[in-house]
Amino acid sequence: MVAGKKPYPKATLKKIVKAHSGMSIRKNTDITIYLNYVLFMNRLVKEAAIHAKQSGERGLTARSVRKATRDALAKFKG
Amino acid sequence: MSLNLDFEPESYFFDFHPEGPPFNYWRRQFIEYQERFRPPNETEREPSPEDSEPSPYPPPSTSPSPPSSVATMDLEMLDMGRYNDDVPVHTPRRRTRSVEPTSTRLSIHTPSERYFQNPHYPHSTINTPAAPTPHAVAARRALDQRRNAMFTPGRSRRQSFREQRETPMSILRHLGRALAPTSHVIASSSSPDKPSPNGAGNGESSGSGWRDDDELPIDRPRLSLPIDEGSSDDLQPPQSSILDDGNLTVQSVELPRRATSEGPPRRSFSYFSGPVDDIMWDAIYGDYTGSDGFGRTIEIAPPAPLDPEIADTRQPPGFRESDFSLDMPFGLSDNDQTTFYMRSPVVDDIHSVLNAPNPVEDDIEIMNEKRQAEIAETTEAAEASEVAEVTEKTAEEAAETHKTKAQPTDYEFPDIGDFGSVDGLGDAEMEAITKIDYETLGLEPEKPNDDIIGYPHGRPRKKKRAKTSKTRVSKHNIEYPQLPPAFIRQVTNSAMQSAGLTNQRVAADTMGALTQASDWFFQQLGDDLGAYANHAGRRTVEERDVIALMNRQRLLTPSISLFNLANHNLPRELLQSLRSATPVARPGMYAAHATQNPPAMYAIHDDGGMKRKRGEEEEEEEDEENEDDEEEELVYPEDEDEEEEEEEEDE
Repeated sequence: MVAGKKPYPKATLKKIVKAHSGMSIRKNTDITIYLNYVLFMNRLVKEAAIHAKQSGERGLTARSVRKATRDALAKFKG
Repeated sequence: MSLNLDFEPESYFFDFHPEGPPFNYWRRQFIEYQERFRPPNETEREPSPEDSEPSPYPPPSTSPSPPSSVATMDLEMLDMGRYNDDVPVHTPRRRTRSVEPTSTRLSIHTPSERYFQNPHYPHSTINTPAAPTPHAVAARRALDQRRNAMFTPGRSRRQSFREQRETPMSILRHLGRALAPTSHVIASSSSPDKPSPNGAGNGESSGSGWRDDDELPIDRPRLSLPIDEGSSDDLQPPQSSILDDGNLTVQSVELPRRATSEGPPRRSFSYFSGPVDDIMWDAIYGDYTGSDGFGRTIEIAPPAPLDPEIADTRQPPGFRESDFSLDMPFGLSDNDQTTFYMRSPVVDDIHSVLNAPNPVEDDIEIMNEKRQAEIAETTEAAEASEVAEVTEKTAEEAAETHKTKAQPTDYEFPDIGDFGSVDGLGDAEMEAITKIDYETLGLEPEKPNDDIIGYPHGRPRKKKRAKTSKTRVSKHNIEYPQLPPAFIRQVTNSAMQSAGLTNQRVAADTMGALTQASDWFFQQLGDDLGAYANHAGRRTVEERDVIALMNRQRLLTPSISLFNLANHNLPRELLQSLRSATPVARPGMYAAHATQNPPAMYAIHDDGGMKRKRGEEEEEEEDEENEDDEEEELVYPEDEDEEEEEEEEDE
């Protein structure tokens, strides 16, 4: 339990999803959404790292992230 | 008498100058002299017809005249080596001799003569066998070097020995050739009243003898360094006149910085021409090493050439104009120079400097006025756009600039470039502000400005925008905030740790790309969740929509439950709240459903596992939300759902 540190911006997340879906969010749904987002970011970073390594860059570069974004978004399309 | 003209070192350098007469011209002259002064016993040797043609080699010297210089001595030694053996007279010259085998001559010669056999192949093992003693090696090397120095111009036509002839003399000769086209001005611009001794000596002693005879088409440019005539004391580095006063460390530190601005004018050529320039320079700059006209001692930097008389006498008569002098056009560089000089922290002397007439000052003032006008325009425009919202700010700034205007001390330094312009800036902005709102002028007292030198008082501040639009509007016309970057960074860091990239910083542009990806992700997720909830007939996005989405994302498989994922990816407190909030999702639920599913489900949708999973999910929803009134909606419309998702994917 990390005291005083919120794990994620709950209100912001809810607002964003609410705005995009045009609906209200039921309570505690945002935890699952956050989980989904974490999984998405994991995948994105992993694929970006693979891209970066293939193109010989060090670390995580913006170019590799942009390349990996398309694939990751396609994977996470419902 | 006839030969010494060609053995002046400088004439050796520049006989073969590319702009001058070609080498063969001088060779023909040389042969002519030889024929003219040949002793009568050798007159049967007539010049072969190839003498008129270009020959790659210097002609042999056949005159037995006493050696008047090193070169003639060398030539005679060469000719000794050549003519001691009984070479027939009609034998062609050295061109063919290099082709012929020289073994017969080697057997004839004594070892002392062998060194001089073939100057064209000084390092050849055929002509020069191994030296008997180290002294012989040294002597041979010295002779070779001397011969190279003498004959390099003629022999440089042989490209194959170019590396062997890389002597300091040849390097200097290359330098002379490179500098020759640009250095005609120097010879002409030398002061007529005080001709340098070298120029005079060159013109009269060495040149007159043959110039009368030959009627050269052009005057040979004297571009070489006169080693023989000028005293070697003159060969000093150009900055020696400044470094004279013993304060070597400070100036050696300071000089590279100030070399272009305050060093002596370009003397790259003129300091060769004698001690006249140094004397004049020291006479002019001597006072700077001690004390200048204002009575202060200057050790590091002489002041700007503000005094006209100093500026006039600063340029010696023999100098050509350089970048340093005051004759450069007034402009930015002048302005910079003045600011550079007047940056000196001695404030007491500034007043005395001000008393001196300053030609640069007027230009600075004119420039300041122009800048004031421009700044006034720009700030006015900028202010006019922001009047409505930032009246307090303008009031504040107006008060501030009013305060600066009220300070009279600024006007005592009109010619210090920075300060003057600073003051102008403050005035300009003040005018621009006071034009807009007079009533707010001086409402609140301002704290005194910090008087950091070089930091302007009324520098126009960059005004922040009143409000940056952090919210954006979705397609449902709902404003939504941006994701906080710290959150994205935190998620990224944890993701990087799980991806194996540990301890790596995320660059700013990478963060931008990640933010963009997150935005797109949430947009897509919101669309999907809204579609699912809408399809279920709800007005609320519930957790089972998210679970359905994660099923479709293949994140949830029969072997991976939601809690597995949450265990791996969420912090513990979130896990707790997830467990408490969703009693629905218990571990192993999907696996149980998969076993319990009737085969009819597969029969109905037998086109893949995706449908099967959706069927499971619908089943599960059926099971758990029996009291829900949308239950029947959830049960039947598989095909409808399919169509909707198809069109969703088409988008």
